[in-house]
Amino acid sequence: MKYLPLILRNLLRNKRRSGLTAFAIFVSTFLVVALQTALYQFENPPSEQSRFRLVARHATSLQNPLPEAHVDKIRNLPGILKTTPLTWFGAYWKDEDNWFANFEIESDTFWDVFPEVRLPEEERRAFLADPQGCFVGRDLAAKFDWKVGDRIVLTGQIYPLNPELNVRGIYDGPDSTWLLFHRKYVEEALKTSAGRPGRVGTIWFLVAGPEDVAPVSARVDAAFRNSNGETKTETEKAFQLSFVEMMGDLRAIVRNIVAAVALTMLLVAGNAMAMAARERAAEAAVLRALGFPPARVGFLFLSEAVLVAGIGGLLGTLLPVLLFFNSSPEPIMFPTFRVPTGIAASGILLALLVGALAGGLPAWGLVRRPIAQALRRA
Amino acid sequence: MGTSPVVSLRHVTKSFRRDTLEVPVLRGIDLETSGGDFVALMGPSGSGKSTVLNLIAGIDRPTSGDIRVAGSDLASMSETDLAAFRSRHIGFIFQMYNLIPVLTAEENVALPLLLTPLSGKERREHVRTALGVVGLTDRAKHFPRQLSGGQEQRAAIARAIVTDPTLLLADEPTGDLDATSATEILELLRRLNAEYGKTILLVTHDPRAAGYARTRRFLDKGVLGEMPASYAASASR
Repeated sequence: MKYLPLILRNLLRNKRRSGLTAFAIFVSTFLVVALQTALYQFENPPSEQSRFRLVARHATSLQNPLPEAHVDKIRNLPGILKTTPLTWFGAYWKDEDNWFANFEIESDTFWDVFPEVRLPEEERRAFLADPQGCFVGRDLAAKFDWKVGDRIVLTGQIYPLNPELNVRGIYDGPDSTWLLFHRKYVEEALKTSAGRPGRVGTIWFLVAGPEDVAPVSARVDAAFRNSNGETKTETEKAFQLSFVEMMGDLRAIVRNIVAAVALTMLLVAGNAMAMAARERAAEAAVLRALGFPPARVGFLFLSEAVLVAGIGGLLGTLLPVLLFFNSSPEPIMFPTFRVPTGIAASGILLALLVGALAGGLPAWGLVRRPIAQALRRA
Repeated sequence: MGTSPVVSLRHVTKSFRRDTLEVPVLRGIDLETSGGDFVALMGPSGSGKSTVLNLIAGIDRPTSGDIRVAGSDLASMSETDLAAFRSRHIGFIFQMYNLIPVLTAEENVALPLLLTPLSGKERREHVRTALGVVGLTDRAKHFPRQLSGGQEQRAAIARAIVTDPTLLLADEPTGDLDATSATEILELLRRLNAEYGKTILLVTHDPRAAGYARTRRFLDKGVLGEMPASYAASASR
């Protein structure tokens, strides 16, 4: 502690350089933490059910629908507790920018598989009684200022149908950004459209426990092998990730960006510390001439680098933690965006590591340089 | 005032390598300094004076020969041991003062005390005493840029004496000062020697500065020898 004033004074001797270095690390850490959190949210959907919930989709592509008959076949396979189809309708409200997740559901079975979607009983009855009824997540309702009783018209992008829907309820749940309405309504409206009736997008079902996930998945896929609707069954977590990975290998993209940001952070901090070391070579030699051991001189210099990086890293980690504690930067894609403790800790550790590496080499140079030589150049 | 040898150099040589050339700087010098002595080591630029000082302080190593300072054989010591030796036995005064610019005078003076087990309160007391000895108490809170050259050098001397070291090494301490300030510094060194019994080794090329010392040695081309008459005349006061 007795060295802290010396470390702080040295840190503040060039405020602009220290400030810019800390700022660069702050921005970089913010990016790293935010990106890793995004990846985490994709890989860990916010639902307890998701651990035992599986989804079957067309083996060729998510865009290919499955025969509706698959639902009953899957329902009757051993090891499966509850089943419901869920079909992406793909519509927007008023303007294409008003994009959100909207699904057709089988009203009788939906809550068997998605019990975390909590709708007040009265609103649920109202929804079930209205063929054109829909219910929306609280966040989505807040975004578009929808209230129970509103009539909304969606514009379909996949099917030739613009659903006219009555908002019958506002639901709460881990992901409250969806709009859900009756599959029967769409089937009735599109009964003459080629390729649509009798098709579902995905089939979701529950298994008893984690040990059932692999055998049941294999059983489902085996049941439809060599049919015109071969399935690919995966966990909800894997499904969500594959949905996003249609854009590319998300994990690899995020990891490459994180690595590039970390390297940039290292170069910026390393450059700043190298300049500081060059300017202070004579002072380091004076300290050593006064009797400071080489390790102590190196420690003092290294502490500055770690402190600057630590401050930048702490702020860069705290900002996303505080900013997204109760809100998400992209509620439709990420219903919640809370930074997990592990990712927050890794953000700070990364910054400290960058500080140690950036300060380590110049510090080593300072203590290795002969004192007499450094003093001669003072 | 004791008479035991504080510094003992025997057959010390030092060469520097420049590319493939071996440049000899010291050519087998012998030097002995007793406790309480005030020695001026004179010589022209490039004669090897500062190199001798660096060898005695343990911040450079000889090519050959033995160096014993305050009873320690410097040749056998590691860098860490040498650092501990310097903090215990050596007070260094530089030509360019070499104060840390971001620290106040008293914080600069306190630097060597950070290496001791003294408490904060004890450190402050030592600093106050050292600043009092050099007459800089009223400038304790000033940063180096707020001090004159003479005051900076006095702060540097306070830093050198604050741990009460065995030996004070002064490398051209008046080389960057005007005549008045230089005289004040030399008077201060003489007082430290006379009143406080500090052993001082002063390196200078200025015969007037050397005149403040009790003993004068002359180094030329790496060899310790007799003082030339021109230097001796200037140095006698």
